[in-house]
Amino acid sequence: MRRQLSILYREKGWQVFALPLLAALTTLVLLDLAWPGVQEAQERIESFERRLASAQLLVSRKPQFQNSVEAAEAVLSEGRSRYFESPDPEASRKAFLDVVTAIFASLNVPSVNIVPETAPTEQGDVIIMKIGVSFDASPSQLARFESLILAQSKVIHVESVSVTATMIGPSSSGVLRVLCTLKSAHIYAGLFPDHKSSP
Amino acid sequence: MTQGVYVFLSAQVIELRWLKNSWLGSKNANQSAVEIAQNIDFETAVTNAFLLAVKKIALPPNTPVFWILPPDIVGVLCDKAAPGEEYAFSPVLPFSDDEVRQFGIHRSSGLGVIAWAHTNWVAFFESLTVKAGLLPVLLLSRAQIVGVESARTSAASGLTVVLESQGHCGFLHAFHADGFPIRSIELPSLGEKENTALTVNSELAALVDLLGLKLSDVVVLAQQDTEHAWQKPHGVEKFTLGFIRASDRHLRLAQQFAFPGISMAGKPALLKVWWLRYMGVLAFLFVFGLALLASVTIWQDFRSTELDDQLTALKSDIQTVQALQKRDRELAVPIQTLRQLQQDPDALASLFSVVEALPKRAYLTGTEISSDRIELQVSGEPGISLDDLKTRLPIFIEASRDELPGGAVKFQFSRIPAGRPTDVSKPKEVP
Repeated sequence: MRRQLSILYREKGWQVFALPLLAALTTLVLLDLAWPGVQEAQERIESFERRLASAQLLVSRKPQFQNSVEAAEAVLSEGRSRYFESPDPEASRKAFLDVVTAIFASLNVPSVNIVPETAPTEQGDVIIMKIGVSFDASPSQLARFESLILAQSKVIHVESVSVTATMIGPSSSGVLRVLCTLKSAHIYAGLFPDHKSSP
Repeated sequence: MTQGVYVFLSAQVIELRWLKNSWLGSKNANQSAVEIAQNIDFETAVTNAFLLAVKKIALPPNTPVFWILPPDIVGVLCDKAAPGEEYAFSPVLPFSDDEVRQFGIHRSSGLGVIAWAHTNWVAFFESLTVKAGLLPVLLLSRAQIVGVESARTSAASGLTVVLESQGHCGFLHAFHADGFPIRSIELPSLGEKENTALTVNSELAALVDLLGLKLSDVVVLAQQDTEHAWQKPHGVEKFTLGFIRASDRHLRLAQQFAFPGISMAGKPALLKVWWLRYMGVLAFLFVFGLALLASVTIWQDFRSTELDDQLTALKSDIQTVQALQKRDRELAVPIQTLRQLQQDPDALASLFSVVEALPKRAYLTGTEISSDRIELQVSGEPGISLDDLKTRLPIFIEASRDELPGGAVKFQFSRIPAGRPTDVSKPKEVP
């Protein structure tokens, strides 16, 4: 091959080198022209691959989200009947206050002081509403207070209670000074899809 | 694949060796030998024999032909010259310069060697080859091809003489220590043994004289497998019988024009074939490169489309999952708040629970109950234990008991803060 090339060189001179050189140069020029396109296409493929991988990961987590959402919806729909649901927190606060006022009206204690404690600026889809109450009561009235709370259609929690008394016990009775914080929840009606459609 | 036919001619026989060269090496594709009729004129006899031999091995048309001719057709001439002097071949040649085609074989170390042939012979072989439908390329001297290999392997110090034969024709080729032929003659008919021996001896004497050597230094190699038994020349000490033949490698080298020879009409055609093949290889590489580039581009297009399709197929699933994810995020905080609210202990229930747990004579004098702390002051039964109360208030685990002046006892319970491990007895590892 080498000998044949050297004889060809003797016969054809520079053409022997010029032609492969020309071919190589043409190839290089074509490569140079095509390279940006090839690179761009490669980047596009890589970005597609990344997007596909993240999409597949997201889709693979579908059951997880579904379970989580279903559990949350269950808690929410249970809470809807048990707490104060309304489009406006102020309406819920008023309803809560009305319930508490009604409880004390039927409890018939001599002096009662009802103070809403929740700051009106509090934001959120579920807001904890608090009402501080202070009243004097006998131990039996305190027991009735509890049963009245439990009898409400809405759930009212007693967050804290402070009792000052001289004689409280199974075999004694007396006047108690009671200070307690009641709380319940406002649930924003817009959280439920059926409310969203008719504001 | 390249190929070539090598025609060995002597006065008695014409032999054809057809070699095909491929990437894997050369292959002896076929060969034939035809006797040359002695009763008719030599040129006609050679023509007939050659056409018959070609017919025998069915050569494809335009196969390149290399003629390897005896010394009486392509002669070898050697001349000695002092440095700076011109070699004088012309006076020795029996024809005028324009009747002769010649080529140099060697020209240095005081020795000049040429080979020559009469133009009529060149024309004859050229037209004979064309007549057979083949491509006439080169005329070579027999001494350039036959016996060179044997002469080289003998590693002679000064002169190697090869005695070989084709049919009944004997030849003497003399080789310089550097491997080039310096003399080549056809010996008298091998049947006349004495005459042959006489000629060999006189040739040896002349060569020894020319090169300034001793006869005992000359190496003589003679062909073994022949009907003729070569005799050891008188005065020669290094005489060997061996197998002497033109090797395939030498024939291939001849085809690659490694040896000078007399060019014939077909040489440019052969070079053109080479040139076209060279161009073909270049064109193939070029096209292959372009095809590679194109295939990369096509593959990229295909892959992009494939991935795009897969993404499109997933689109509705993605939207569903994204909606679920959004809803999940939307509900996370409200649900956490609601759950926390439901989990908080009811302070009033805790109070009644504690009151029920008190012994008969004990009574509470003060309480503070919130979702994370309970403080009780118990009087009347100072012996009351912490454990009794703890069973009633299971989620309030940290507790203390303090004796107050006046016989009262103060109990304090606090709830585990959120996020703290329940197993408080195990110390935390400090990194």
